[in-house]
Amino acid sequence: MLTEIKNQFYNDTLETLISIQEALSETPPEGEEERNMVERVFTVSHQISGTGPMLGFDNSALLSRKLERTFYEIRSGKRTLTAQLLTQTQRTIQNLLEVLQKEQGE
Amino acid sequence: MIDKFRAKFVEESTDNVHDLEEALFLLEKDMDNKELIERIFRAMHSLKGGGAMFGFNHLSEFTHHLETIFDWVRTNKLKVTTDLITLTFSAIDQIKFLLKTGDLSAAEDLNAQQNFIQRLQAFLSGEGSTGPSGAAASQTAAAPEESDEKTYLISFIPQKELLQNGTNPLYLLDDIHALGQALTLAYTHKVPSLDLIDAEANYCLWQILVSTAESINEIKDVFIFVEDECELHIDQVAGRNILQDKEVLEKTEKAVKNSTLLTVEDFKLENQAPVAGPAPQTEEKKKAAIKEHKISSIRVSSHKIDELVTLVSELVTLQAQLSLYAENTQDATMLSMSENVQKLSRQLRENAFDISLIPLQSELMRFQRLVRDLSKDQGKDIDFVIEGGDLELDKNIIENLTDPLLHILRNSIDHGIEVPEDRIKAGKAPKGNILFKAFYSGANVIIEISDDGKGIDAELIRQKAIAKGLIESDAALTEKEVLDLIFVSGFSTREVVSDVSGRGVGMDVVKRKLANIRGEVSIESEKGKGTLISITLPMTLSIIDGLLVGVGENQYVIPISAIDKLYALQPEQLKQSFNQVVVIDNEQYPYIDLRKVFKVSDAEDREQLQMIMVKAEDRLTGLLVDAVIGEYQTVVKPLGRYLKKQEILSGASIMGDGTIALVIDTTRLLQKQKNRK
Repeated sequence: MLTEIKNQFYNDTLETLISIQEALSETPPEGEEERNMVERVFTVSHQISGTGPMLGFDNSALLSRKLERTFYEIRSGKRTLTAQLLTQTQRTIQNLLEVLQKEQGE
Repeated sequence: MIDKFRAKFVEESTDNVHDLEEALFLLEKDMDNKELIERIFRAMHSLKGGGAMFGFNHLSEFTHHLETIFDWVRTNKLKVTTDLITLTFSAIDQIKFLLKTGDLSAAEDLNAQQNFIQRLQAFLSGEGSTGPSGAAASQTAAAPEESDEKTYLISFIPQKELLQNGTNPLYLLDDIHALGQALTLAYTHKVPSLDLIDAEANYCLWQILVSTAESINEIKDVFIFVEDECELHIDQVAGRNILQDKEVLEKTEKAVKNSTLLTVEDFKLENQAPVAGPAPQTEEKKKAAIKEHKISSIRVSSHKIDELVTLVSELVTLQAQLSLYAENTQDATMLSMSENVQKLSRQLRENAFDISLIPLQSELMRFQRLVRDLSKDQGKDIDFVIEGGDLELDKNIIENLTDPLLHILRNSIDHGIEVPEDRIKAGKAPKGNILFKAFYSGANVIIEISDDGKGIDAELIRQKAIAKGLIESDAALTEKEVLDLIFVSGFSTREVVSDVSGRGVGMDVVKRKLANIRGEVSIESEKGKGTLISITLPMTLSIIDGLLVGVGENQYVIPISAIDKLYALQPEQLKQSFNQVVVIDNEQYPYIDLRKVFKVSDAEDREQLQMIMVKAEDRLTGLLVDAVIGEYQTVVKPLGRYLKKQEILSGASIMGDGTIALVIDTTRLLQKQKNRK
């Protein structure tokens, strides 16, 4: 049962992350698009930080907490999403993908 | 969408600027060379035009002034001087900068740009050609800029665990380098001796001196996701770029040597150092910005690509030999090596062919132009729609495809689409439509050109063919066969020969040209409704997937794309056959005995036969062979002039053991057989 949930979570998260990664590699988002992007990154990182440890994705959760924290700040207007931040986000998501895969044993 | 074009524009303009620079260098040596001046003028002109179109308004405006200068030079109102060339060179740097950044937004950049333009204008009014005013302008231009460049000292001291979550600190250093001029000091004194090293731990620390116009927050952002795993200090150490200062360089060297980290105090003196030579710094910044421009594509002469493809083809042949040899030896090492070589050469081949593909798009501009010009000339209103322009085809195919396509389009406009009045009378919209559609279909590419014009009158064609003696007056032809007559040499239906189409060298040339690149053309038309011409093309010319078969003592290759099914037959089944028709699975199929085609004696009795069903014109026909040897990826070589006349072979291929297998052109083989009947 838990394995099933774990697999489901893994697959969903992977898919979301990859789609974000793809979106990030396109032209920098603006306006509404940017808000959507911030929301997407925040939501998925929030999920990984929350659900991850329960399913054994401890390192992934550790990493995603950084994303969550930063994007929480962007979301609440305390920080602006610069091009530099986008680049670093891309990197971190790439790392996150790798760590996730490692923890899933793939 | 527009972003894609913008990127393309930047890429092309970079080429343009490069050309401009080159021409300028030559002009410096030969100041009266009219041709070079023209070349420079043209390059500037296209930069200006393109710039305005793709939203590089500042670039466009800037180049406009530059263009004016060279317009004067062109018309002998102004002489080329060393000053002019120097000015132009620095203008080129500005152009590069503008291409890189797009429209300027920072006030200081705008200021600099304005000053530069004034300098250009001054040059035109003849007063600013040399000396103080030019220099002054450049200084005022630069002055506001230098103040925003600051040097920061970044101390990045990661913990041992940094690497555990996949962070690559070198990427971060790269990102810092992208901000401006930077100098990285790596301290490795904490790395323990080899036996104590934990392979997953990080022992290095770095200090970076970076000179940038970006804010400190921008630098902080680089490290945002590693904050928890490192100690980080970012301090401003100077209000200008101090990376060239000798003293600073000495200090950094010493720091690394002694493994003592630099501190803000080390730079105290530099902070008070007078601001000197602002101009070089702006240049520096621009150069740094230009250096960042990444080359996303390169241009290679097509001859080099042809050579690459030929070499790869040779490699594929050699690899086939190798696998044959390996199989014969049954040596395990040899087999695995040959397998790896096979894998690699397959990848290499795919890569090489991918490189030699170019998008159809490159030729489409000409088509659009043709439709526009012709329809204007003839008073026709035509909506030309292109679908699948991004499709890629072999370079050689595209080269040979353009003329036939232009001809077909001309026909559509000239013979197909009616003038608006006639269209209204026929109950159609006054505006005619031509649809150009390209798409993949299996290993083929299909291009369809359809119009909603008046179509082709089959009866008219028929009578014309009879009048010209192409067919007998009582020949019973299907409508499709009648339409196919327009591909016969010497056929033109138009009473009045226009200068556009209908010179008697019409569709037959199209068909022949397409046949040269193994293309097939077919036509469908309904009177009053329109015409559809569809062209089927192979994706590449030089390599095909084939089925190797044996006939008599020889081997032949049949393109897999043409094959539908294989059947094993008993000789008895053939003996019962009648009139070259065989019954398989309760269906009747006509067949061709390849032994007869290639004149192999029938003396020995065949024990087992193979029937290969090939598809042509929506019908299956069997090809009778002695044996099916296997699937074979083959490099098709042309046959040379002695064998050019024969029709049923499209090329030859060298087998692994050095023998030659001929490649059968099934479509033509079937057609020939049909005609004979």
